Amino acid sequence: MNILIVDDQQFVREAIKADLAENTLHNKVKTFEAENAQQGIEAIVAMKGNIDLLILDLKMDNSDGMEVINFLSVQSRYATIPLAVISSSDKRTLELVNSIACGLKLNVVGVFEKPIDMDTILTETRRLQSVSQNPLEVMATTAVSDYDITQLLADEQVLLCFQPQVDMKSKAITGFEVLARMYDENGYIYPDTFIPLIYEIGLNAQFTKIIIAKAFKLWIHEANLSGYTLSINITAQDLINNDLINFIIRQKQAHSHIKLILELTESQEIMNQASVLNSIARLIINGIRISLDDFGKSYSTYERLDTIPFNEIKIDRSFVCDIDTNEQHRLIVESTIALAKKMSVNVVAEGIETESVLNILDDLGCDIAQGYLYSPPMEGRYLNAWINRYEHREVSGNDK
Amino acid sequence: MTSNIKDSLKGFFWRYSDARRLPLYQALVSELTNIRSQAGLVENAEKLNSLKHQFKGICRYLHLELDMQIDAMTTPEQLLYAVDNMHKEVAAIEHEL
Repeated sequence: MNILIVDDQQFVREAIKADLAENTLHNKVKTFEAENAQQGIEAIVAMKGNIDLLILDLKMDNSDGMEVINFLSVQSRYATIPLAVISSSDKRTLELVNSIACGLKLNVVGVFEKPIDMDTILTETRRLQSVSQNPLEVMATTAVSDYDITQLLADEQVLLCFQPQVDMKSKAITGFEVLARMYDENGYIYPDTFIPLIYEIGLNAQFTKIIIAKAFKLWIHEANLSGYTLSINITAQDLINNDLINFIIRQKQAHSHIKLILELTESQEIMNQASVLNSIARLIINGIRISLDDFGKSYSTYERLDTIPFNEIKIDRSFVCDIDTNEQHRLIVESTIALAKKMSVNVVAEGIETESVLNILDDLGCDIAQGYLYSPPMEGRYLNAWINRYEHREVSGNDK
Repeated sequence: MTSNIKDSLKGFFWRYSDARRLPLYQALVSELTNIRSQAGLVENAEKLNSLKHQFKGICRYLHLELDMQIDAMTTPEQLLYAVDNMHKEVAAIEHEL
């Protein structure tokens, strides 16, 4: 196990190493040290990301841990390194950093006050490793250019993954959210890498069209999937493209049995444009349900809620993932669910990774759950097998 | 306070094996020496806060609940006094490790 400790205080580094040495796994642990953010980044690169745990001090002399966190978030090949942030800072600062790191989709083991308990951190790291090693999950990533993306789209090198959504009361599967990956000869490319490029080049409508066509193809081919909702992400940028809107409506009309939900996320500036609202109205009129994605993440969330007749609110994962330890997030989720109930719209919580979070959401009255606790996003070819396993487990154990 | 620091220091070091105590002790002395020398050169509040933060980190590892006292320090002299005091206590237990 390779552990990189980034902390400007030699005494703290020695104490962590001593704790690791006292741990039963000490024979398997190899520690590396860096005394500031830049050295830490250099070590990550030098080790080619082959790090099983990154212990990162938040506040260091002449640098701070956020530099490393930002580096991990923009260099997606390193974003999966298990990250434990440690600090003597106050609790609210730690919660803020935890929220940021979760929002950046880093592999956060936790944010810990000094002195840290290595047993706790190592246990949590192992739990995360076991989750990420799920064979269903599509892994790996590579760097790509504008040119690559254009070519990959032309070749439709898009792979759809599906993450299940489960009714919190009945525990029945309600549907699946489509999450796209692109791939080239080097492996899979994550959305964090290719989505910004696609929008920059202006190929977003083409990309969304490919996703919808491929997802519909699967839902048509696998008849047993038609009972489940099919949630597909769409942005306001997509909604200003009439050709795409017409395509979606034609698809829905041709296959009216498919329960399509479009998960909408975008900035308010575009959302208020007449053409966007017009497109939303056309989609709703044609029986397509609209979900407000990433609820709470944007400053303009409530304005959007007021403008558009959504069927569903999807609470952003950054609020959900730690509601068992973050009181402020619990309050935000609680009031969001209460608001949704008053507006008679469904609430979906994504980013559920633990039973503890699931139980709190259940108590708060959340309708639908989504997250690694049930399954990571999986390729379409695994869907039926997963459904069979889940339903069999439901019958035999009812353990989720 | 003195006996409290001494007890915490002993409690901290005796958690570890003989082979680990000396490197830890040397790192602690080095850290305190470093903070002490920098505290003598503090020119602004930001630097003072940075050193206070480092000292707070050390105290937490030693299970000394001094957060509030450290937060209340407003001058380099107050920090120097606390670090000096700690330094003496650390030196006093060297022969016991």
